[in-house]
Amino acid sequence: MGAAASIPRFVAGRVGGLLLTVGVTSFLIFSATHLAPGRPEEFLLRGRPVSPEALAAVRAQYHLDDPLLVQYWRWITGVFTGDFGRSLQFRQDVGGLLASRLPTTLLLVGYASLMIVLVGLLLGVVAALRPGKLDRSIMLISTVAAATPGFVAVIPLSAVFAVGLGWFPVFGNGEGLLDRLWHLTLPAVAVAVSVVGLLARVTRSAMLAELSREHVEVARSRGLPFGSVVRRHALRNSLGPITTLSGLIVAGLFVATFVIEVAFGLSGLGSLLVTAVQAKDFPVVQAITMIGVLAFVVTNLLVDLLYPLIDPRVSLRAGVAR
Amino acid sequence: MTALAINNLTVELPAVARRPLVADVTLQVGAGEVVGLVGESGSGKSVTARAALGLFPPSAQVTGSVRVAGTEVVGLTGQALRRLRAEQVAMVFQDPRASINPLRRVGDFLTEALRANRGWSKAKALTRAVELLTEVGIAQPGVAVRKYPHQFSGGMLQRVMIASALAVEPVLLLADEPTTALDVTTQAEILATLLSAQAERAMAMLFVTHDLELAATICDRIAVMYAGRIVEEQPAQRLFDAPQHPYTRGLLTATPKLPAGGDAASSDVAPLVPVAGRPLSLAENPAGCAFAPRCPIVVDDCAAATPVTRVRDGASVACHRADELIGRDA
Repeated sequence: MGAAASIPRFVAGRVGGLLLTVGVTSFLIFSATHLAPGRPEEFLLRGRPVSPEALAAVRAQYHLDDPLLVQYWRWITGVFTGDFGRSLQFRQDVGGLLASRLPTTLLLVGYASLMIVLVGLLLGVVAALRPGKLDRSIMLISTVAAATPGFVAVIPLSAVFAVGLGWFPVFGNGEGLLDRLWHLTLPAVAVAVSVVGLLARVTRSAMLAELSREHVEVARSRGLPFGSVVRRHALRNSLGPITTLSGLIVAGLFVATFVIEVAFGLSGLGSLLVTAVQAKDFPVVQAITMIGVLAFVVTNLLVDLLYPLIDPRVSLRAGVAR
Repeated sequence: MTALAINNLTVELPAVARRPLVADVTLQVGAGEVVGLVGESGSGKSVTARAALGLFPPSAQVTGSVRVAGTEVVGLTGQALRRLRAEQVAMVFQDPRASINPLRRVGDFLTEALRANRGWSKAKALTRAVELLTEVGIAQPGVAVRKYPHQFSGGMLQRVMIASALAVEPVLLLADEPTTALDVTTQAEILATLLSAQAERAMAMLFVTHDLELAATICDRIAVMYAGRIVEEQPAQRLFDAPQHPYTRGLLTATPKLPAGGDAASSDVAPLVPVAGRPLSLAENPAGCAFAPRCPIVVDDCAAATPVTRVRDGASVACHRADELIGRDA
């Protein structure tokens, strides 16, 4: 039928928009790194005095004398074939460099997302169902948590749980999945702390709005168990705003993890980005920034695709730009 | 056995309202009987009807007794309250679009209660849902159960709501303005559906409406509410022919009527006389009769004491001047 037929068209439209967004941001990213102060060849030569001929040779090797647009075109066509260029500081393919770092970041983002969604939903639902002291305490704690940046949370977290109690390691990636998760627990908590309260708040207000709806009263008047009224009617109908916010949060986590990775000495994309920025390692900075943009756009696309499943009144066709 | 017996029910919301939402209401609905509860918005008719489901406003103070088929509802909680709602009483609400979860299929709405309350399998509940949809006049019920509420018209959705109420096999069916949100032609069809289902099952029905004329055509007996109290109760035809309370009379003279000849311009049409004044708000709680400020035949006594309900020949009226009025030609 109509709704089913419109799904491929919707996806095609959204993927087109996605490519346009990626195209524009990639150019901005590329030109921005070239506008930044400091020149890459100075890093390459480690400040050694060299002859003008040697300098010209280095610039030619890295195509630094070509016009910006030509450099951009060489870079972006490479990106689409999986070639992100060569890292200036590691003298290694950026692709391989990223591949070794990406799993840690993805695992951290996934772990933190799971924590945020589970704890945020739980707190929000409990706060909505138990007005009074419990509701007020949850909201107070989530406000304090929301005002705590991740890198600040790192200090008490590692002081108490790593140094004081010795439950978790302070440093390193770990080996094997369980050991890795054990190493990633404190970083994931640090990432989650500041956003979990936000999700709890949105869940609470969406739940309160739904609980006061007439169809919820009707469900209660039909003798349905309280638990299924909450799950099938109030929570089910609150999923719209919860999903939208969760999508934004998960997309934003890629950036949030960068600082935390450095704080906990994890070798993920974040710590790589920080050293790359300090070293003017342009290809690495560009590649990681592009991954951040892609993560954001793809997560939003997934949320948009999920929405008609949550609310049958939303048709995908209405979402296609005309 | 009486399906519904309300005795001296008073519902108060001290934090919100200065006067009780419902004050000292006594009302009976016999098995198979259709009783109308008529009044303007805020008169307490919906609160009274919902009391039969044990559905009181949050933090309300309730005194008096509400018995459904012998079971006391006031103070009922937990499992016992769920049993009452699952097996004894069902309600058809005013706005079907607001009453049915818009995000779930109509079939889920219909089968949910059967599965949760009776432990039926999905297939068995679905078969029953299709039967009920056929009974309430939904074409292609097998297709309808897979649709979402927004794919139905308001009238069709109200039929779904009626089917869900019938699924309970209730002793007492509450209908809270079931046709008010629908257009006029649909109203008649929905009423016919509701009444035939009621007659077939010999269910008791409490029909809440603001439309006195509508109540008179479908109900055996009518109770008129004003400011939380029942001011008059009579068999439907007698209430229509010989209203006793000045408020009921006011309502009847405020109803437009077409002359028998069909000539709307002819001079024998009774003039429309609105009831003067405005209904009592929840913030007001004057002494004496609540209708006194609007009453055309008010006397000094009216503001002094709340009138007691007098019963005579199956009619009950709460008016200080009831005796004089009954003697007088209406």
